[in-house]
Amino acid sequence: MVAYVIRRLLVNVLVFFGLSVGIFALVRAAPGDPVLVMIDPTQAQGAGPGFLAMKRHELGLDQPLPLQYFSWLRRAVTGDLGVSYVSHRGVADVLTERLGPTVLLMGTALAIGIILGALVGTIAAVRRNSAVDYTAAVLSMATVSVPSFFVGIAAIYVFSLNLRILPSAGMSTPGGGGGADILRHLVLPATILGLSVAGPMVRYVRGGLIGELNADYVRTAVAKGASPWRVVFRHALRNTLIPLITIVMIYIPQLLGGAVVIEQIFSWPGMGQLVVSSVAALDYPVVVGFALYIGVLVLLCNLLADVLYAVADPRVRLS
Amino acid sequence: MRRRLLARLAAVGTATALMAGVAACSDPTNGGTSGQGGGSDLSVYLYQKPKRFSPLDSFAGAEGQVMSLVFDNLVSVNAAYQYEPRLAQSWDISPDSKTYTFHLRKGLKWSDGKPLTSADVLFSYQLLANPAVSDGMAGRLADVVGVKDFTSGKAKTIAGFSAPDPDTFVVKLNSANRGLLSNIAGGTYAFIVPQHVLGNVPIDKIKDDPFWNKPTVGAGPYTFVQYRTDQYVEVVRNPNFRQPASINRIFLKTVTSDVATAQLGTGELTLAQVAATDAKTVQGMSGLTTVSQKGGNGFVRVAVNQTQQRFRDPRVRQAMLYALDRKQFVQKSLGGYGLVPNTSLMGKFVPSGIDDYAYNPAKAKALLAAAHWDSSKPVTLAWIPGTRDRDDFVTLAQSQLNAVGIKVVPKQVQAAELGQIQDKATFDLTLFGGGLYTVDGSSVAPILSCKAIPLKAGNISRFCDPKIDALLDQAVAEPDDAKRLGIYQQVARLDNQESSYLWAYSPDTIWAYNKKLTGFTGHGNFTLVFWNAYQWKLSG
Repeated sequence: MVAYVIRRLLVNVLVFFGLSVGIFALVRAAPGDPVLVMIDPTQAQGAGPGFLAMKRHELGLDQPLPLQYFSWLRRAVTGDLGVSYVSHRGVADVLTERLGPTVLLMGTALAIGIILGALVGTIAAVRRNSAVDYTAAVLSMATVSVPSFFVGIAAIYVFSLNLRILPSAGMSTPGGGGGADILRHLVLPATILGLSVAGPMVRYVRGGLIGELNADYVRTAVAKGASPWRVVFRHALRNTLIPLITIVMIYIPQLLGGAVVIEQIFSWPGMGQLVVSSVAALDYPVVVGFALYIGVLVLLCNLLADVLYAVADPRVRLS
Repeated sequence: MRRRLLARLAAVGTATALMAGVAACSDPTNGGTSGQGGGSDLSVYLYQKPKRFSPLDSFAGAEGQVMSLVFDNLVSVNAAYQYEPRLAQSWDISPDSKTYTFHLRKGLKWSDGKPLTSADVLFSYQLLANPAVSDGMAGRLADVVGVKDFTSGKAKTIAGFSAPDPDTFVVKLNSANRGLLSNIAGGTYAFIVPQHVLGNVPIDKIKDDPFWNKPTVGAGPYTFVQYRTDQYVEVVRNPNFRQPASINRIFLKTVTSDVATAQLGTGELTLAQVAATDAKTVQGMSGLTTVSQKGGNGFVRVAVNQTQQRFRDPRVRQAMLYALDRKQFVQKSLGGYGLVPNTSLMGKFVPSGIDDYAYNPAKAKALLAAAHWDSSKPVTLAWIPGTRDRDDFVTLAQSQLNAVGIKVVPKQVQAAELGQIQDKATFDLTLFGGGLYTVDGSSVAPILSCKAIPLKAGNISRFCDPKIDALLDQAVAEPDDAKRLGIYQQVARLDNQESSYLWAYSPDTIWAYNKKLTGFTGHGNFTLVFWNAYQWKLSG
């Protein structure tokens, strides 16, 4: 398996290189001029026509594109992703700063989604075609089809404005803080995001589990006198894990990329907010850095999914 | 079997719900120290996420609001749009309008207790006028004596700035300019920065110095504490300010406008600027006061690209103005919170008796016919979507201009693209807004003057009338204020007749605040909201 992982990592380096060329070219193909976004034309007035050209030169934007790419790549491989045009801070610092809030929000949402999805999916499968099953089906459809911005604003209206039991936005109370305070701020965004994960998860778990519960080995286990608890959790649920691993692994990069809408509504200082503002400001270094981060995350999660397959199902042999 | 399984599942579910409940109920009061608008902490809505806090940047309003709390400048503008002495107690302008002498207040101190002298002002202005490090101010100070020699490397400093004694700072200009104050006096321009903190930073490194991310030494009424990225900025009272503030801390929170409105209701925010469309909602909330000010936000306008032959005839532009029912727009879309401008100048610079371009589609059609307008050729109208009043105006322009034979095609663009098409003049019509034109008439020169065209930046319409230019030149050199006013009113008349832009509307600035806040005087220019923050008080 170690040889397999190493080989996959080497392939990923090549994919990463291709990805970086693609991202760099795509971002630069976007219309607009970052210098004109940075500088208010009426404020530049009077400084002479060479002023904007000088600013372009400062940022290295007057260099040919391939040259810009290689100078960026040379620095990127040493971990230097350049400096943000907007905040004048290192891109790696800017991204790292967002990682904590994003991991906290997305990790909690993923945990809520998986636990709730597995729980409700299992109940729905065990009590197939009952009222519980139908309710779960309707609710899971609702979590997928009702847009999160609507749920977010409605939740703020109910829990913050009317009931006043939860804060409406932010990650902590200004001037306050502490773990409990952050937890209170986390409840609404994480639950809403978690529900959007739980919805499809319920369908996957239910479908997978029904298939497994009808399998011969389950009938054998029941015939041998295994307890219902043991049959469902030790035998059937375990075998539905493999497709679930894929789903969770697909969700991780998606979630760590930031849930743009939820972060905007709840003013959560994560990746989603950063990338939206950076794209609007044509902050090339941050956009490219972010896209690479997501690319690397997808590659790593794919690799992790393969390895976890083997762990979850000993029949899978990685070679 | 099934029942036992379900019982276990229910137990796990209950435990999870309880955990969430504990988290939710750990502080039932909600809102924390600043949440209820009481005590000595104030929470204010910050409408944009600030990037960093450098007076050298070409910054937006959100950064400007924060900087006006932590830095100070020589002179500012009060809520009546008059110059307000800040670090400078007074100033003299030489009869030839080329030399400005600023007299600093006695005993000024930085927030860390170090003395603030004219050496700091000199240091700051040398930076602000240097095009290599200053994006925001260099253009405004380009006419200072010695800037050219400095930029070309002939001189090591800018000769036009001097500090003859610790309380005096002098600016010398190449040409007469009575409008210099308006260039440096906006609360968000020309902030003075501490030489004792930044003096040793090499000039090529100063732009990227980490100080601008955390400017903890300043001369404003408050001192910077922290910026929790995309959440809030925290500032604390500066005890060394010349008149220490009463409110201890101010938190400037970056939330969406919907959430800001909700938080005004819950008391999590004490003060917020609200959109005209939300004004009614806010007025319905108890415990809040709403005030509005006119004329401070410039105006939303449509630039008409006059490099194109078809738009050069003033009758075409006049026809467009007659075709638009701007008065009804202000009533309906802004709820009456706005003005209909008919020239690029504002406030006292607008003379009476100018054409009000009242809605008259028949007249518009006649003017277009007289100008031989080709109605078969479409006209694109580029704008950045997402602001409700602007989106509404584009819809109105499309239908009402179409009705008189101007085939308008709306075109949505992003901020970056708008800058580019305006710079390269590759647009037909483009809608944008802003500016502060109420303080000094000279502030319209960058958007009206023929001289502003070569840079292809400020004069986006590419409007050019040598008569207006001559008047603008005459006005900046005129030492008599009454005469200056008269000249600018002539400019306004000419501009009104020739329709340099399609002046759409000038939205009021509306502020809503908790009644516990006293001493607040809503400024028409939202970036100057904190112009008298040191006089604010919180009760209860």
